[in-house]
Amino acid sequence: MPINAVGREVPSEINGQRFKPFAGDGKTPPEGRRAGSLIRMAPKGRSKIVNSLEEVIKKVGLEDGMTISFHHHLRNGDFVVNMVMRTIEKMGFKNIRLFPTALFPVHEPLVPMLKSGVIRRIEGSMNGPVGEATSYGAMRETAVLRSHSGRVRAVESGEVHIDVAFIAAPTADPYGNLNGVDGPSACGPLAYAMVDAYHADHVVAITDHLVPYPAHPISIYQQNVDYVVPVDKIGDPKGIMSGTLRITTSPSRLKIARYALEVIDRVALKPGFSFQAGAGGISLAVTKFLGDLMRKRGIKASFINGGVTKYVVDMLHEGLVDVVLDGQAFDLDAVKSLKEDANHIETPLAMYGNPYSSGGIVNMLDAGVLGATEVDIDFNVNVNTHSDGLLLHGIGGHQEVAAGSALTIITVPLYRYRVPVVRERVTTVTTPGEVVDVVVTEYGIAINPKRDDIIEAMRGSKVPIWDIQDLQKKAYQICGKPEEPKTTDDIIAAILWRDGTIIDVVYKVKKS
Amino acid sequence: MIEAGTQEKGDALVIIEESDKREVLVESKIMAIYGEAIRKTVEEVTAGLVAKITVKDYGALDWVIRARLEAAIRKFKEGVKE
Repeated sequence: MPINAVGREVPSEINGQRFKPFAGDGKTPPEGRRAGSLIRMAPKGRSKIVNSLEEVIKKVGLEDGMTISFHHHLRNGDFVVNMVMRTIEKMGFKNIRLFPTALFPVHEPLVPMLKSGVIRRIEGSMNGPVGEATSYGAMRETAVLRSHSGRVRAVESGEVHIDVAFIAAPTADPYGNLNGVDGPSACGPLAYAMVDAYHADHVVAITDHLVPYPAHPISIYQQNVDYVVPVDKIGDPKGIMSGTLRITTSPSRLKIARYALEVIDRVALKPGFSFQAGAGGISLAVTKFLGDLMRKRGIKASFINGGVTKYVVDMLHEGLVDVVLDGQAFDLDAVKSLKEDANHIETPLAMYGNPYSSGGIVNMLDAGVLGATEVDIDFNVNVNTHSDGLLLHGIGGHQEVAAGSALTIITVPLYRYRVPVVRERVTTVTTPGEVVDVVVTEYGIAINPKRDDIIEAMRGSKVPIWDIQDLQKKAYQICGKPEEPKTTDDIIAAILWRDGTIIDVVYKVKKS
Repeated sequence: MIEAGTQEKGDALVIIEESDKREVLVESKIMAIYGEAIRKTVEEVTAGLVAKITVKDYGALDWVIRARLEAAIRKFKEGVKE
């Protein structure tokens, strides 16, 4: 097996499909032309409503082995994936390739379908139980994980062809115009589903809020949607929307946020700067503190790319930022603002950070603050696996923000409970050290040695500055050196860099 | 039987029960990567104690496990005296 640019041994074939080894960000040029979808012609009539999932599955001509897709705007409140998959199972289909943007703990009912062969493999993020089951070998074929933008690239390039896209639609009209800002299951943008709507051979909307034609606003347009299936409920609002997200109250986590803020202040903060927000506890604290600092200094940002939360919306309303770009809303304030504020814009995922495009939002970012499960002495970051080897998280937009943003900060505690976060070698490489600039912990920061400008900017700061190897030694001194995860030689998942090259693989974990 | 510690994340619960023979049981959420280290600490701190010793670890640092073990042993020995 070839060794890639982060020193990992990776296969050149996954599930019979050829993949190149990771060669470095921007080092593998694109080839070919964009892929298309089946050209269809709508039958005469003014309604695309079909009254049952079983009927719609017959109409689209689903067959064994086909690829079906879903989006995850309903997160852990989603009912649609399970509803559709149960119907597919009941109808006796086998060997389906599931291509969701992401799965959550609510999707645990898929685990028996992996074992029985209804699903042959999943290509998408698996947060929680489905990932854990896959780690222990439940999936017949090999999982493939892509970042948000990497998934868009895969669809556009034809690496993955979607036969049927099932789109959970919080609002739909009978002719297939969809949005996510209204209805009992409102989720905000429908950004993740847009690429599927353009590129799938058949597109089915599933809604619990049918409105008269034309729905407005429109996120996904009628000319791409073949059928609309009304159901009782597409989701549970409690799992779709977080309550008001809480800023961390842990003194050590707040210290991490303050150190990160100081790095942003010295390196990136200037009138018109731009910032990537997130919903993690530390990330929220950074956003809040940044707003306070901007107010104090009289500095206004040009845009925030989100991960939109109340904290971002408050900054928009206060005039601290001109525009919010929104690919995902985390709370009801974000949904309401997307609906009402003209300078809060829904962005298709194709606009986010696909390297094989004419340029993404991430290329315009001045600062991005990201989390991690592990970081190593080469600044490589793991967000997918835990230190025991279990695959428990997706990539999200981690890769593209890190690659695009002028300043990429990873905020992590030095250790979580007894597990060191700063390590000799990450269990899985999700994002290579070459696109990571600063690692911020509660003990201080480590700056990537190739960023002389940041080293210079931090001179005179009271924030402790460490060599990353010393941070790692400190972590091992506190926790003890961890044993290697107990894995076998079987590859259960491939982790792709956003350009479609293999950056790492995940091995099957032995049951203890 | 005595207990020391809690079942909070980052802590450990130590239970010591009277027994004619020495018996040591260790459970941990992070057995895969710290199992050997935890067992070694438990054996070292409880060496010579003839009792049934159960350690339920929830990701505690080594110092915390030692402290909980020591507290448990003292409680157990006090109890025996009475």
